[in-house]
Amino acid sequence: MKTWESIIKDKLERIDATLPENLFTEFLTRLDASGSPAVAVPAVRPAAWRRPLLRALVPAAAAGLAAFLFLHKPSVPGDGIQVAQQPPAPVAAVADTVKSEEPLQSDNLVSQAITPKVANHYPVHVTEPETTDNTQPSEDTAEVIPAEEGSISETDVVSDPEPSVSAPSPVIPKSTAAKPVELKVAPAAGIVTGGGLLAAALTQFIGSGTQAGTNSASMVNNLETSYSGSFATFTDEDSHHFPLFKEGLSVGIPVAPRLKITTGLEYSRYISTSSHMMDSFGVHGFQVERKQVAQYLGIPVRLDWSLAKNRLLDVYVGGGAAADYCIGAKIIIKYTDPALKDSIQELRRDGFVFSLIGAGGIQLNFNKRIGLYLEPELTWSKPPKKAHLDFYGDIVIMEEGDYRLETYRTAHPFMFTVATGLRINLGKRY
Amino acid sequence: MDEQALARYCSQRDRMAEEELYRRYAARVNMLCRRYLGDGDEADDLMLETLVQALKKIDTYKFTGKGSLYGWISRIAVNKAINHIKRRRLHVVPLNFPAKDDIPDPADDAMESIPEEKLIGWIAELSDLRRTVFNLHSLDGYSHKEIGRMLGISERASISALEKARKQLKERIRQYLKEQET
Repeated sequence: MKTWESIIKDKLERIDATLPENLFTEFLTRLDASGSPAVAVPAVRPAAWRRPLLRALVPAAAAGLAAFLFLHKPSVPGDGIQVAQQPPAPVAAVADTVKSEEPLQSDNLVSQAITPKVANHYPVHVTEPETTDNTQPSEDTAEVIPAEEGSISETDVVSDPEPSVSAPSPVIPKSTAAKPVELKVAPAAGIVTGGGLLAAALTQFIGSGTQAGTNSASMVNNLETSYSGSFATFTDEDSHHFPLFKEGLSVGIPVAPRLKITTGLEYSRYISTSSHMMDSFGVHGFQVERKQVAQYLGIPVRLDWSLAKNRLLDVYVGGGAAADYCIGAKIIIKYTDPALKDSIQELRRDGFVFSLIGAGGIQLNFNKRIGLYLEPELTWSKPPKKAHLDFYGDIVIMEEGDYRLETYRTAHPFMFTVATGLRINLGKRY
Repeated sequence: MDEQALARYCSQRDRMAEEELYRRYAARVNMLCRRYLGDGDEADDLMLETLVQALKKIDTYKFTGKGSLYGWISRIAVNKAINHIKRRRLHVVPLNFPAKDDIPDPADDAMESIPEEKLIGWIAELSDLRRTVFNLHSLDGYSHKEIGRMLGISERASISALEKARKQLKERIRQYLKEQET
């Protein structure tokens, strides 16, 4: 006994509908257009040589940034002691013997202590004829310098009405004033340059491999695309979400001897795959393979505590939060049946995804300002609301705020990942 | 000309064979597309795309028995239709009538009296999801598991959508038959 649905099917298939003649004309037009090489539109894919070049851009930018900061000398010395340059020219000649002024007699020690004293001058060898009349020290007498050989000229007098009590030390002591944390020109330029190059490289990866339009004239041999609106779920048993690695450009701002704030830009790429068999009409089955690629750009903010550090290494732990934004999502569908075209579909992007971070890290310092970091991280992000059925059994498409792409992160709210990248240390180095 | 010969001539880019393929299958493929898309103009466009692609890939067709050529072309059409539907948002369409829990199946002779255009129109009234599931399961023989994979929904959602589609169609049929009696 037939079901009412099978009756519907038979009736619809028996329809002897006469199609309009213009459809036949249109069919012939499209057939001619599809076979003509002049009409075929090439797939918008980057040339083969561009991909390796683009992938090399990021490490090249990092190397350039490292070289720039390594070679650039800071305008203000950060720390350490400095030896003052001794004046190359000798000072004014003085007599072989110079009488010191008699110290003023004073009745009490305080007045004696505050009485300025005139130092005894060391004899200085003079090559020019000396003036024996001048036995008194001149007010233009230069301050004491270590005795050394060399010509002495009157024109090189360095006047000092109040000679110092003792020989000045050539060593200038280290400044004890704490320098404020401020952004120097060189690191700022490095951040802007490096960030700009990184963003430019990332946008190249987003735009590759897609083609707008779905009319028959734009079909090409291997790719057919559709525009955004699709979403993908991975309910197959053989689906797989791959763990995540992050790359980034980070800055570290010290706020205390062992404490610093780290922030920056982080790029992450989530890949998920699935595969299943399709079989219909009693004809041979074929495999459908799907690969979803979702790209995010995030800003983490973390407070890190240094466990141990030296000039070369810094080992730290920290915690904070991050906000990630989806910058691109697509799904690549491949059929093993050659009658069916592979396709790439843009997926609906989810909005901001917030997560909490706990991380440990090792930073290898190339110099005081720049280093390479490797951070195992544990993150937690709020699981998305699951799609639910309405009263009539239809799938309810969630509002923008609820929608989340199915990725490794949605499958594992507590997620372990490894982040690596370049870090620029700003401010004072403790 | 049998299907095997037709496919062979089409692979040789014989224009007469290509036109013959259009004459044989265009109407059926067009009806299939109308079932899935609901809209006449979109169905026409999809039918043309399907036939053009089928002719481009005709070299890959393998004859497996009578009717296999239409089956092969239909599979292309169904996949294209699903991709087309997925581009739309699968909105929830509120029902204008209450869904009854227990509607008896219409009798065979009653079903035969219903014009095909009416059936096409009622199927087109279904929401995208219900219409797609109804077509795939009830008319084209896919399982709920396969439907779930194709549409990216769970098996349970497919079963539920089919139940609601059936109820909606049966209600329409019941109302029509009642009007015919009066």
